[in-house]
Amino acid sequence: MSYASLSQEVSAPPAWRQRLLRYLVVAGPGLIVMVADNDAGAVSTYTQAGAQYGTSLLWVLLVLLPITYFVQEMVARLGIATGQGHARMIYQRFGTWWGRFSLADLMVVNFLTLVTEFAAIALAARGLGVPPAIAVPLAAAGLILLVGTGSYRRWERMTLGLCGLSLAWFGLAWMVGPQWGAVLRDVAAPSLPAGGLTGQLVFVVIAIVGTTIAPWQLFFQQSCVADKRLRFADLGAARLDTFIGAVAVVAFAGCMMLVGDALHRSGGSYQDPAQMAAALAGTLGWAGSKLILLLMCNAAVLGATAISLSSAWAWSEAMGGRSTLEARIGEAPRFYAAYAACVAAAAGVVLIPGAPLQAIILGVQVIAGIMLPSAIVFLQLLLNDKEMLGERFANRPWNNWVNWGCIALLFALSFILAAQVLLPGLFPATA
Amino acid sequence: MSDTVLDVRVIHPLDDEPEAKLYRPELGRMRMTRSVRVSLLLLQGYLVLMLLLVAARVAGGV
Repeated sequence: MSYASLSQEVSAPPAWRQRLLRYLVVAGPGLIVMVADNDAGAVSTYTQAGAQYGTSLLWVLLVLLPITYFVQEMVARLGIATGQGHARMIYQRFGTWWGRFSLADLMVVNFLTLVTEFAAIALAARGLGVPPAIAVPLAAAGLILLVGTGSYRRWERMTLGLCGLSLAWFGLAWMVGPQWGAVLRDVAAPSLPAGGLTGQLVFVVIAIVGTTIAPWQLFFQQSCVADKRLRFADLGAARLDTFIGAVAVVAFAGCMMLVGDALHRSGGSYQDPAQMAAALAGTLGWAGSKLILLLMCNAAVLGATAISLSSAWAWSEAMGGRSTLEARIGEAPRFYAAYAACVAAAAGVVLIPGAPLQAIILGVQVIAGIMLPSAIVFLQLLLNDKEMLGERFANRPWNNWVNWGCIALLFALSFILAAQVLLPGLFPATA
Repeated sequence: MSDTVLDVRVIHPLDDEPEAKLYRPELGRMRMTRSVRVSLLLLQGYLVLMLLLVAARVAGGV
């Protein structure tokens, strides 16, 4: 039989099936980094935005969708091209000074953010009738067990399962009975909320941006892609994974704003998740209000594992040694020790009576807001490193225009934040 | 004529042979072109400014 007749008898499988399968094996890092970005702080930020301004800030999320995608796509591309984590790339290409600066900055911001995750677990658990002294150590132990199996795939499946629980936000958003006309209008036609430009509005918008794009995400996704050993041919599927993740993060955030909007319409207010759940009990019923607390715990756990992993990957990449979830604990002691230390220390801080949690939450917002532009500058420079990446993986001119635009926006927001700190009367405090 | 459809198989990246990546340790530090140098200088300036602002705010009492 000639080669030609063989090709006539055997038909190739459909291309879409091949692409779907490739997507299924590649998907994970993009989806996880995005859904984990809707951590406890994000739930608070989006629901507060909804409670204060109703649905009028929904358009901000739509604007953030392409920005989030473009930034994270760059990290995925860099990880696939180099097979290295983000911290190692900064050390190698910018030298020890910038490497240490980036690492220290990441570790500090991540640790403070982790404390806020455990604080949220404590508050939500209390609302569920579980004492924080039990819930917080239990969550910490679960988080350590989650990564300690010596299998990347096991960790990824379990984490994707946690991501799937976030789908319940759609149900909650439906249950609060949004005013769909107003929702569509506020998504499609950007406008300022009633009251105009106030200091509080500027702060909320900056908080939304800072929550949607965070420095740990850059480190996490690149290291995750490198750990999963994604290949050059996987780039298309990795982009799709990142895009679906970006759509998911914005859709969940929108649902959280709709939940907050229910309080805006009823005139309710709250300080923490437990109070929010209680305030919504009239609308959602007992089960719905408990579901909010469970989703808050889930968001905090997802955020905590991703943030701790980004710290552990970065630390062990910088210090040398193995940094992979495929290794057993004894084979990558520095990596697992860093992860466990981050989790245990943050959980410990929350359990200290009278710990300054409010100051920590404020500190996270300020430091993360200041440091994000610098993290993205490194990313942009690395993606223009044609000596290393060649033409195939380096940024195209249009990539650069988009990314420098994002960087300019982030710097502008940082300066506005700084100006507000220095000149509190810059914008009217309230309408 | 029989028309046999081939199985679709995609190898999981972790089960595949590792491929040679573009990063090589011997590359060393990034070449300091003018745009890289200017970007890093601006970044340093921004960071110093922000740290001064935070310090001023802390000194003035939060």
